[in-house]
Amino acid sequence: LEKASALFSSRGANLQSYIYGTSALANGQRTDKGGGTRSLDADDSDDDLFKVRSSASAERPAHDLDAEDAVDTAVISMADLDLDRWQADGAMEALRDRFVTGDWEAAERRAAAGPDQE
Amino acid sequence: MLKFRGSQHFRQRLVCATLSGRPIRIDGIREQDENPGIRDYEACLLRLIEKVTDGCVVEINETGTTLRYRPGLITGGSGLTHDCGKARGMGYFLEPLVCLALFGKKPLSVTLRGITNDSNDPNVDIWRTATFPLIRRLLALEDADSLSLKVYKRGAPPGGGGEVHVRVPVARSLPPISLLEEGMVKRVRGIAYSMRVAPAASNRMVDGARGVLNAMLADVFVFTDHMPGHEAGDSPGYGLSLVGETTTGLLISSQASAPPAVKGEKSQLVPEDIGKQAAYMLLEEVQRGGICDSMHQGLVILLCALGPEELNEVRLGPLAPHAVRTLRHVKAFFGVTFSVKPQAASKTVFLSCIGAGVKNVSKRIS
Repeated sequence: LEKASALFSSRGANLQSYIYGTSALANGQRTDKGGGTRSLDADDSDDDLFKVRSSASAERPAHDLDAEDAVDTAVISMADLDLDRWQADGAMEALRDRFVTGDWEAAERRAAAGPDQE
Repeated sequence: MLKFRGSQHFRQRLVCATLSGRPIRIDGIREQDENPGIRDYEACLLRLIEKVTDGCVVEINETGTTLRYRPGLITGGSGLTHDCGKARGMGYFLEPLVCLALFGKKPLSVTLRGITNDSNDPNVDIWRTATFPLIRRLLALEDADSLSLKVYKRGAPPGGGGEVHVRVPVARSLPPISLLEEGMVKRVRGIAYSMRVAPAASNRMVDGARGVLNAMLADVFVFTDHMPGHEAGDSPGYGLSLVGETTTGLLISSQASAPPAVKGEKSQLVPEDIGKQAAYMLLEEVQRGGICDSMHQGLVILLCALGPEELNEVRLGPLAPHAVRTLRHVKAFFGVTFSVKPQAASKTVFLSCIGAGVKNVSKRIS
């Protein structure tokens, strides 16, 4: 479940500032964290120049929001999700109210609920 | 000129640039990579965009790490064909193509060849049974025939060899969007496909999916589609897509497919497992909630941002990375900032914006 929550952006009230805190446009500073040896500084050593990412880490996964070269896809990879948890007892039952076989009043309450007030 | 870095969100950058008429420059495309520069499938997409537009200019530097794109006018047209290559599925090309074609001069009619079903992009069955109905609903298209997809041949990775025909109508401008009611899932439909494997694989996947979903719902029906001989493409493969329909007529979809066979290695997965995976994925999507599944969030956000200068509002599940990038990009291109209001109890997000009022430039009303 931890994996899944890292994938999706649901940070409570500050979600808006989280989304718009980073601009899509390129600016002076680099945001590619985790890229290891990145720097645009003038003191780029020759060693840095010839360093390449190993091919395994070259394609950054799509869910890495900081990666400039993240794979362009709308699909969330199954490998990033913990699908086995649905086999646990009661995992599916907890979802019952989202189906027509569940409690219609609970679904109505969910539908009627507006966004949280600040 | 808008400047970007890296290969992320490549397609939507091109779409937004074309729709807003603003030239862009992307630097540093995979510059730290062993194999730097744009990939073949990205070049392939640029060629497709050149086919459906008039007067666009694409400049790529020697290493392929810098791209300059000056958009042209979208023409659309019929009788086009495009080979999508064997690196990415057709869903990769359809996403930008459909968004562009809606604002074209003439309705688009194009034959695409390549990989129809893989796990990296929404497969053609999802497009036909979930994405197109969603677009029809968002755009209030009445004529179902004008936006359609026909599968003539299927193609699995790595060989491809599939063929589909896509028709997209033109829109003058988009209607306001207001979709806040998720509804409850009332039925599940699906398609299990198989090519160049035993036809029984389809039925076994259906068994796997039904075994999971029937505990929640009796109304589960998965069609089987076994492609014979010459319609089966060049590689063996099988998989299925599921679409849950809610009481408010909205669609939640999921897909799963068998990984491409590796020679001399026996797969750990049996068809029943693929069916189960798709079913669990569907449960996962239903649990997240919202008026569409995670793979369509970006599309919904884009269509809201392109909408009229009125209130456009939708309720989505937790935002997928692709959706977050879309939000950032529509702000950069169109200056549209969404108001993002989370609701903690259901973990859903209410998004609303005043659209950019993008109009079809070749469809002026006199």
